[in-house]
Amino acid sequence: MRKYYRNKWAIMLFALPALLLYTLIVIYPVLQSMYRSFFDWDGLGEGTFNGLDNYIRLFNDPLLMTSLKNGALFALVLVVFQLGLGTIMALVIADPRLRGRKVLKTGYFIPVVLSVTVVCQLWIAIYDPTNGLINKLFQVLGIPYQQNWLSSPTVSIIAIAFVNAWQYMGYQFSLLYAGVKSIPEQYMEAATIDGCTKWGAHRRITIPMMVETYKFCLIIAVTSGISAFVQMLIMTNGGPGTTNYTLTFMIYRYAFGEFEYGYACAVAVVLVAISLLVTAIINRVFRQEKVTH
Amino acid sequence: MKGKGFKALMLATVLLLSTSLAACGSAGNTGSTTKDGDTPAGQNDKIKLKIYAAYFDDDTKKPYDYAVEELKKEMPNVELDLEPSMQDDGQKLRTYAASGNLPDIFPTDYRTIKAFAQSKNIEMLDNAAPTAAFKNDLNPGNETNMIAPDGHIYSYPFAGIEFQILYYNKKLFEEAGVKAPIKTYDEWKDAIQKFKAKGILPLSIFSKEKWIGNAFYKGLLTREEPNGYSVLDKATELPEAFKLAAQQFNDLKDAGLFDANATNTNYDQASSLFYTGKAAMFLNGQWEIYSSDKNLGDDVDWMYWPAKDEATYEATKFNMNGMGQPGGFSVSPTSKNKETAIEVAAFLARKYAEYKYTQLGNPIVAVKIDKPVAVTPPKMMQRLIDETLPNIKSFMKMTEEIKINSAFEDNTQNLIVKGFTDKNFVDNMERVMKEVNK
Amino acid sequence: MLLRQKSGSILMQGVLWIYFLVSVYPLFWMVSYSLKNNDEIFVTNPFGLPLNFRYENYINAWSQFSIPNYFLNSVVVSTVSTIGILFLAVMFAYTIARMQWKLRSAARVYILIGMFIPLQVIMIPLAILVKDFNLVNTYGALIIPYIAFGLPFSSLVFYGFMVSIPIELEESACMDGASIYRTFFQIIVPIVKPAIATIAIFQFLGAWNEFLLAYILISDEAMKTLPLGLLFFQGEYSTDWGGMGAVMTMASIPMVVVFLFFSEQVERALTVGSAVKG
Repeated sequence: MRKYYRNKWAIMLFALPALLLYTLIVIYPVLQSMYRSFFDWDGLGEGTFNGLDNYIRLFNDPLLMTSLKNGALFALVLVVFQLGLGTIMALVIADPRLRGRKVLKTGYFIPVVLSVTVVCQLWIAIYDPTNGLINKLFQVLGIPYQQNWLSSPTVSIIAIAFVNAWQYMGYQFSLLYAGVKSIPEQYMEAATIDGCTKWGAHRRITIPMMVETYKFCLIIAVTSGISAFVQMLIMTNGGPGTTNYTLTFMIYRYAFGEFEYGYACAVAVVLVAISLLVTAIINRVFRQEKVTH
Repeated sequence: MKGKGFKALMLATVLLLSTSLAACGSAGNTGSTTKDGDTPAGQNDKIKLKIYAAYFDDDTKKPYDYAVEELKKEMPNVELDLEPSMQDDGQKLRTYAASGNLPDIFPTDYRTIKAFAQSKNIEMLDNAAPTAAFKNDLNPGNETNMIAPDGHIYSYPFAGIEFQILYYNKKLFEEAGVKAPIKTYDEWKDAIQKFKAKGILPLSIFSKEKWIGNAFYKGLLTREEPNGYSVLDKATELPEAFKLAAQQFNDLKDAGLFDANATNTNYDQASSLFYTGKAAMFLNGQWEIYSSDKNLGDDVDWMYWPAKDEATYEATKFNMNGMGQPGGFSVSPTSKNKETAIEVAAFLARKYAEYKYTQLGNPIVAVKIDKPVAVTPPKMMQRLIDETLPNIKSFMKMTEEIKINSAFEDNTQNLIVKGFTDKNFVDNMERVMKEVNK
Repeated sequence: MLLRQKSGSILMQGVLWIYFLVSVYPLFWMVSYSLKNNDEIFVTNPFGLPLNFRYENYINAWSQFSIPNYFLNSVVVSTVSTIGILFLAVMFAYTIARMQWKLRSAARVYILIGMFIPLQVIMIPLAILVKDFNLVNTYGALIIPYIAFGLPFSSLVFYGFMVSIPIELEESACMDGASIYRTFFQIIVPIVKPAIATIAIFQFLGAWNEFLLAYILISDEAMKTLPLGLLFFQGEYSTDWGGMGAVMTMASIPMVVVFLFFSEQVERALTVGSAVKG
């Protein structure tokens, strides 16, 4: 069997096309950007080497703190909403006794199918303080709380993160659902016979067996939170001021607005480094989890 | 058996590659054949120029079409291949420059000129054939639109120096008992209370775009400091005039001048509030005269910027809230027909101005036009022509520092939001100024 | 006890259906939006049915640009990139999930990096690459980057599926003397079918809705994809939101149909998949 899996020709044939294409189109430009992060460069001319200046400046840039904080909040909202709600829904809908599950499942995926622009425009309307649905709903229910959802410096980032979380819930849901479905029925049956309730069985059997799926979903949720961008661009344009900035928004601004491509590259390096770090941490945590089980 | 699976795999790979390559190949071929087809052997004297220009609505299509018609008469041997440009913060043009794909003629603003000049992606036009005549024909004061701060010329401007004014709804003013025009800051605050009492939004502003909050700030600032941001070059602290403007801005906000959702209001929403009588005032450039005339007719007029007292108001009335910036049509230094491209760029810039002047009755253009105006301009424009243009005292001067300007855009937008004070504004601005001018 | 469970489940069902409505509402909203004018969209009637149906938004969109042409380009680009991604990613995932080679886990981390790369920062180097390969204004300018950018996510999803497949299946195939290629195509690929169907949907959607690369790399009218049609409605000052809505609707409805079709397949594949595993 080991020899079987060591077939050099097969490995090359299977891995090389993907690796070559990926290296050329993704990694090569990334390396170039990394190299350029040590330059004072406008993205057009020659540029001058300036060592670590870009990084020193970056760590003193108040926008970095704003961006990191927003990225963390964004990621948190995604994890709580998508993984939390996604899990519950995946478990419930995986139950074959539920009526209409096919329709439900399809419905949950609809926002994913629509483009970000459509979804953001919808939520801009929903969040509108005077004509929007949420403030109106609060009024109708007699809740004396009204909010400028998208212009409040504190609330807006969460409001926007929620839009992303809501739109791509179906995405995570379908990954989780596939995870639940791939657990053989016998395990659940065995657990129920042992006297567990349905939810108890899920807690003890299903969820622990989905470690790989969870790990992957978590990585996706956290890293897409850290690098979030489009929703801010469409919904608030990063404002008011720079309150809704994220790392990617910084990159966008410095690369295209301010002609500081070298500096933008430094931000990108930090973004990739943080993403890798977070992934490593998640991997580590899950490995320990596995051992304890 | 081993062979079979392998063959299937290979076959599939080949198929995939060939389909994608065929797709690329055929696309490439069609591209080149049409090009060949367009220039048959006999017509080699036809010069084809690629132009990247705004072309997406009446405001941008009509002047272009007009200019192209004129070009056909003047230079029949030139054919323009248009790629419509979009409002994208210059992303596409920059990518073109970086990858050596610049079209022969493209529109530029100051930011682009600054970066492109440094990297030699823009032709310097100081000694180009049409430059001397163009410069000679500039409307007085419009040199700032042509000559960059480094003393060189990189573009042929078509727009004149535009400025922002306050539009107001006469009927709403009357109904609320507000005397128009508002001349002082105290009258302004008083007016806000009156409008609010009637459930009318005092001023609608499309602050989802950052520049308009900046324009509001500049309107206040120019009452005290007509030169505007240029006085900040090399400074690390905000002068008093800037602080006062920030304080007035903040007080007006706290008094309720803006809508709570102002920073998420786009142009369509803000203008609709004004045109449907839900807002009493509206801020935009003088170009808004046309649509406000169309929408509100006799009910709308514009006013000068209020100041701290009536004496200042009268003294600074004609210090315009606008500034010249180099920009217009520029030419790529790598253009194969550079001489022609330069001629065409200058020609188009003139014709754009001619269109605005003759067809819209808009005198705010870069060059003098000797053709008659073909339309009667709207009343508000006529007032501007008679009362203001001959008396203009000053325009602002820009700061060369792009970063300071960005910081103003960010922080004036912040000022519109409740809770962000003029003190925050001053702190943020001075931090950036210290960084830039250290 | 039984009663409580029952009422609990009814409550649950209610919640599920409410969330369903919230998920499907955007479709209704989008179609309504596409039949309104700016005033209705922003002020008078943002959420309901249009007061009078402005079909002219569609006529307008139709006259602005060649919709069939854009549509065809989108179909070609999305289909070819999806096939390319699936093909390369499944094979690659197998080598990192099963095959034994020195750089195996390094390769996995290496491909993972691609998930974190913000497009904005590599836009300029990428544009230069595309130009150097003479791909500007061809399908290749989009297809090749789409495939490359789709690989990390897809490979890792496949990887996740493959590591959880019991190894016994391959062992017995090996005993029977099947080649690695045969094992791969006849045993592994059928098992990961649900994942293939899921990824196919994800990637097709991604390519179909992709805007930034298409905008930067394509300027030839004949090569443009549907999302670029949105640009025709952005004016210098004012934007025709209803017209944009019409384009978005025309771009999205086919996707919804394709998705409905595929989700059926996924469901079926999932059932088959779990049967094989159990």
